[in-house]
Amino acid sequence: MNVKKILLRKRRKKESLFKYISGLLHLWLGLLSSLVILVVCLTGCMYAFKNQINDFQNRNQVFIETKSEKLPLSYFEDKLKKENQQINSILIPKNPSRSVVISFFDIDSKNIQTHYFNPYTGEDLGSGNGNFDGFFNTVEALHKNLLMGDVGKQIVGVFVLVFIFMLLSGLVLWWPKRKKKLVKQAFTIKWKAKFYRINYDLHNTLGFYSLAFLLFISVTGIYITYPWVKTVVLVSLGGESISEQTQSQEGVSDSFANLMDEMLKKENEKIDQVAIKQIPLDSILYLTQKELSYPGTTTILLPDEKEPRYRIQKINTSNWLGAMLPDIIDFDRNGELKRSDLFINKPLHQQFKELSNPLHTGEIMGTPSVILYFLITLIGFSLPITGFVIWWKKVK
Amino acid sequence: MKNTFLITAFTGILLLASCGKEQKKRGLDYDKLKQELALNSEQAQKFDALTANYKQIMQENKAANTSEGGQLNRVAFFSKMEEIYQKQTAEIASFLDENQLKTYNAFMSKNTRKRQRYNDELLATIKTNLELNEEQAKVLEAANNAFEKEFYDAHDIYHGNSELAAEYWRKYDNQRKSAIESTLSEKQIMEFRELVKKEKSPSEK
Repeated sequence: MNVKKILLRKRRKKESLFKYISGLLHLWLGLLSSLVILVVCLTGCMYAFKNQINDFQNRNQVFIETKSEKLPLSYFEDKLKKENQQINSILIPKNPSRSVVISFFDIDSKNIQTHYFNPYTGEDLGSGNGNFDGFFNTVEALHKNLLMGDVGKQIVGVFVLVFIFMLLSGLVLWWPKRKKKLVKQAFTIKWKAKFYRINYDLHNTLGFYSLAFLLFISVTGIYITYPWVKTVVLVSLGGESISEQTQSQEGVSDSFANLMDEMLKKENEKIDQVAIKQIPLDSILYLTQKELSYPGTTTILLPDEKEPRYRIQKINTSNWLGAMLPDIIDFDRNGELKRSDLFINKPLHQQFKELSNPLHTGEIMGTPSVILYFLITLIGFSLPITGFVIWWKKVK
Repeated sequence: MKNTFLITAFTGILLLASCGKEQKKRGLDYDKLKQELALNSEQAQKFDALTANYKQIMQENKAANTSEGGQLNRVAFFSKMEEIYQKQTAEIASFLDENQLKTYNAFMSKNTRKRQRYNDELLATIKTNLELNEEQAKVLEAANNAFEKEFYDAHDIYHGNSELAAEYWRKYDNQRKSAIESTLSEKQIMEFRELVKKEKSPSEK
């Protein structure tokens, strides 16, 4: 085999210089980056199912049989109070067949526990099992830095940039000529053909169909690695560049001053409300429903010695994409609304900043988008393999 | 067949190449700590049971804060984690000797993630040494809480980039200091600066 001949093939007749150079770079960079891309895509598609696997592992605690009436939250408050326990936070899922998750602590020993409870029967289902956490931590570290710390992170970053180039140069190579047969070939896989033809079609056609998604996943991935990518994305969405954001200034900025006002109010509430009894959790849930009337998973953090307010996060999925958009509201111990931080009111760059992680992992729309991302990253995983086979056929 | 073999070999080399490197263990390495502590068998047994229990509590705490698409409230989460670590330390201290406890505290101080704020001890020292009045004390607490929230709110931007995190930390630290100093006298300012001069961003510590 003549490797040099394969790596520096001659330009074909009627082949444009652009396509010729794209082809050579696609080959060279593909061979160079394939190992890293394989690892990143494989770990990405494994990590996509982290929550689903954890839920399956804890299925006896997480999933419950639905009944007509849910118990009031006061039932759990009273039940735990009898055991000398106090609720710290409570998560009420939107899905009626999931159990509520309550964090509580022993009033004397201050020991903290988190248990699942059946909202229909009140049964304490115990705590979950996090046996897969270590595995997923390793998968995540492999995905982010190949278990090589900062050096690995830079390697992954560079090769994801290369991958973006590969996707774009792949599009150039894929672009069919205006012949009916070639157009059909570009969009379909000929399953009845021989192995090498199927392999070629898998690379070519699946690469095309997954292009936009893989580009999006790659860009949201390098957004995490490179500040300059963050700047490009945030500025294009109307935000400030990173250097502007980190620039020190004399005195206190407006945003810090606003936050100071908020924190000073809280300091006063700590003193003013220390004697006030907390209103029942059911009232807080009612008030939350009044403020945020859509159905959604709700997390309530209860006030304590250091934090005078109920802090509520509700996930709004009532939008055309079904995307999980977090709204945050605070109530004081009297049930007076103190803060309303709705996702829809935030500027676009702020919204993107908050959603960059679930947009990258596929969790943004829950299980359907996780499955979609899994399939897309599986295709991403296959591309270096099918590409290598195409090259190998020519070399051997 | 030949191709299948090649593809398998190719993938195998990839996995070996990536896994063969020195792996940086995530989270606390309790095995290493146990070696440093040179525990006897009874202590080791208690240590294992206790750390396993607290590991479970921490996992549960994280799950409770993030499941079902919820976004992590970092201030609340790290505050709770701090409480859990304090509780664990108190229980472990009951069966360690003085030297072991010193080693344990040094290890934990080096390897656990601290809340980004003046801790309660420093806050108390500032209040006492500077003889802060009620209003000044409120500003101190409020500025410290505002700093913590601003810093954690920027997490999605500096995430995984320690230099960038340090830039954000310094920016908000300057604002925290400005806000606090705006209510202090000249003398108090000098003393305040002396007390907080060792406070650094996580990557500079």
